[in-house]
Amino acid sequence: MVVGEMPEGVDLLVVGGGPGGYVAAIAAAQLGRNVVLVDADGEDGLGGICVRVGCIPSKALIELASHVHSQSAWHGRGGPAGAGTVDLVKFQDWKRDVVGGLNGGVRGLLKRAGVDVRRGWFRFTRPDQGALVTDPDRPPTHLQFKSCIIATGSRPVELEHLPFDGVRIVSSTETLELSELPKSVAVVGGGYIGLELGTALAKLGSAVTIVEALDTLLPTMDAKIGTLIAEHVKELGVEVLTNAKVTGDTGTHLQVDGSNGPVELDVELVVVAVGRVPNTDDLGLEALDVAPGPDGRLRVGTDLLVTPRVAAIGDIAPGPSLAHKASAEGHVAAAVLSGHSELFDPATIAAVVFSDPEVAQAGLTAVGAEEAGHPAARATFPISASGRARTMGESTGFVEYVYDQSTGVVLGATVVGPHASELIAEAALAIEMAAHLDDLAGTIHAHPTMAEIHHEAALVALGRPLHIPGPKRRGSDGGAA
Amino acid sequence: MTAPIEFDMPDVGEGIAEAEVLEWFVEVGQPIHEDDPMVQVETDKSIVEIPAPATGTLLKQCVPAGEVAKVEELLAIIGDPGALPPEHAEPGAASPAASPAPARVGVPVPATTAHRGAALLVAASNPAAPRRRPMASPRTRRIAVQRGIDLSTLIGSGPHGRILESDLGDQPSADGSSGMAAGAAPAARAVAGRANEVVELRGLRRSIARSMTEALSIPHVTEFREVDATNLLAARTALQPTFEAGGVRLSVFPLLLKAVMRALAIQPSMNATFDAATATLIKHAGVHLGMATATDDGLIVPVIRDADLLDLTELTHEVERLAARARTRTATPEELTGGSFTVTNFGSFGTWLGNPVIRPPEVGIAGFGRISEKVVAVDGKPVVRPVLPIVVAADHRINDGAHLAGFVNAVAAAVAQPLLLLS
Repeated sequence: MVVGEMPEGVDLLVVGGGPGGYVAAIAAAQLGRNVVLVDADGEDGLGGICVRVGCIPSKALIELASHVHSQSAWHGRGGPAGAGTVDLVKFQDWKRDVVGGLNGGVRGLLKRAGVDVRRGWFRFTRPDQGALVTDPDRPPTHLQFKSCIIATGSRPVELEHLPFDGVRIVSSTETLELSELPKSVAVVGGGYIGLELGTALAKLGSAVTIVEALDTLLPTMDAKIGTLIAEHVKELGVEVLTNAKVTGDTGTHLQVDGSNGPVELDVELVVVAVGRVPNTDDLGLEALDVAPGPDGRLRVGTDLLVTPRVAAIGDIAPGPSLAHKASAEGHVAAAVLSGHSELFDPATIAAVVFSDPEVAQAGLTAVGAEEAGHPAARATFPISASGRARTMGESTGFVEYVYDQSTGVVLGATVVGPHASELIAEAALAIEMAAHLDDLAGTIHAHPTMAEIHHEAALVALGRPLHIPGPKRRGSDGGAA
Repeated sequence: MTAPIEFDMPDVGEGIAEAEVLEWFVEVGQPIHEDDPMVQVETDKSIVEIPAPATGTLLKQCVPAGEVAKVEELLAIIGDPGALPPEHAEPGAASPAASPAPARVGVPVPATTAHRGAALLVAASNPAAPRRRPMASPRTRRIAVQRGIDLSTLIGSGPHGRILESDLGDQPSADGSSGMAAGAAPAARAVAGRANEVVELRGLRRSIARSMTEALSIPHVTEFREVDATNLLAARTALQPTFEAGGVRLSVFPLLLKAVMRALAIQPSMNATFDAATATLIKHAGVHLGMATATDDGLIVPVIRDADLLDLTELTHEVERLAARARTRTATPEELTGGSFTVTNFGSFGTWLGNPVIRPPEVGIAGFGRISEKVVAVDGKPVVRPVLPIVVAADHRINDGAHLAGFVNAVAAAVAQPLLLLS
């Protein structure tokens, strides 16, 4: 530091305006801290990937696709005939309104909380200090902080032999900005992002091929889920290539080495969705004397601290790269750095996939429960037995509860089916509260609702199934009672 | 390979919900024969040996010595030696999934804090092994973190062993340091040879501690009385030869029990148990008299069942028998539970009188001090008489001072006129 670079004092600095950073900023302000939040895009960046080019826009697209796609089915049930074409230009206008509204909402919340939001790239230069570059042609501002929360998030992984060009080979970000529907699309990656985008584009009318390197879609989940989803997307006309690796692209054809030998896919657009990489490479972490692990993430414990005054949250910290996980960590980091005893130690971080049908999971899987030392058992209730699902024209999917056989305590749940993303919340609460199956069975659920599946699955686990056949009882065949 | 047998902690007596594992007689990996002693447990008041339910190899001690096993909690797994998890050869390489699903012995009803013992066992033998999460809501967990309480050290009082916020109590941090290092008081200066002994309460002592803490929630109302015991002693002297002929020494105590039972018949709301949670009182049809008995390990209260149906001879025999069983710690759990009223006789320690503590869920306790000669006024003149001090405490939620006085009057009347006791 040279003379004239007098650092500016900051009480609590948040780096990144995404769902981790902005929540941490509000939480810290509520704890009485004076907060400065820096984001590369300033106020425009508030909400982060999630609000601007991730969760929110993708759900808007998926919603549009569902409406378009369901029209023909509802026509068969007496609805009007679907007519007209999809207008993605109009959709993008509406989506911008949605995103703009949410971004503006976060701005307002931070303003009200007294958080000072600034634009710029931040790099650490000392354990308690860093440089904020707003304009590359001008000297940076030096910020000296008492506490700092790093929440810089992640970016899409780029494949070496398939570099993004922003036109033909794109990430999820550009896909969500499409103003014209491609006739044919190859989606590289059958994880949740690829599956969501591929399904939505197929419903809108694109010819979609999903290329997955492993042997099932959603490879991180139970294989039966991937198989069920694969069957369903095939009904939408999606081609699913598993155990298939992309080897290159000719500019018109995507080259794939599949289980039946090499093939070339003639597609207009290639969407690469093979994961995300943490933004930890350009943070000046050496000034903190810390280095990310091989996966690019910073090693933190349950206090989320990287150094006594710096915490890391969200996609750059261990755990799933999910907005709600980052937000939850934001609360903890703000409290820990403000001298409060807090831990990030959730029983579950629910994961949801907006595929068709939706998939949601919370808590332990049966395998995970056994590994954790529980005598685990499972109880399943099919969506086809739900009256409410039938009225929506849905019958695919199931809810599966995992519980400790010796105690009856709920350990985990998977929901596959309509509104699974909403339904999982009840299971997550049950898991966090260490609820017993009796608690779920003893809670009266409104009828007719999808949520009844929780109650029904608990009854199955308790050996008292209601709307699926239980064990045959004496007398049920007309014999002596 | 035959399926291993899972053996649950058996029901070792009415009202006994848990027992502390004192000693395993068989190590993991050792053969065991059906009905051979496998493990020794201590319930609230007695020590019980539990035999092996089958012949085979002990595959797992699910509750280690020193830990508490809840009734119906998984206690042991017995099976083929081949089913031994490899962790016994090499820690951390367990593959429980490899063995066939165990057959379950006992009632497969969910046990309560089944995980606790197992978790601690795992922690002790293999620090890298997974620990089950303590069952607690996020709020309870958050408070625990703030107070520096390790939830895995607690047994929850909630349903299925869930740890409730109330279970955290006002408990200070477990090691007095967690999260407060900077502001914590300096460690006490250690003087050589003067180290304090830290004793973790076990078995009977722990049970007494718990029961007495519970008794704190009872609002006691207590009455004291001194009664002329001349006639009582005379009655004993008169009856003594008959009893001695039968080989029994008659003490005053069975006569006092008779007096108490007479008062209980007059005041049945004292012969009762109270459930505060549901605000219900059970007035017992029979009198089940607990008799506080000092033992080397601590206070034990064997219960004379249906004491109101026993004549004085039978009562005397039962008192002798139960006192001996208590002192030798051989009383069965059935003989140590189910009391409806308790009598304590601190006169035997030379005590004049004390404040007895009601044993929940009972609602009353009578205590008798030492009979000693005192100068009392009889017909306006000082006379030396043997005097018996009586104290009775009642749960004020159930009985008021007037009820209590009625009860004490009845005891006093019976002591003054022991002929009443023979009716």
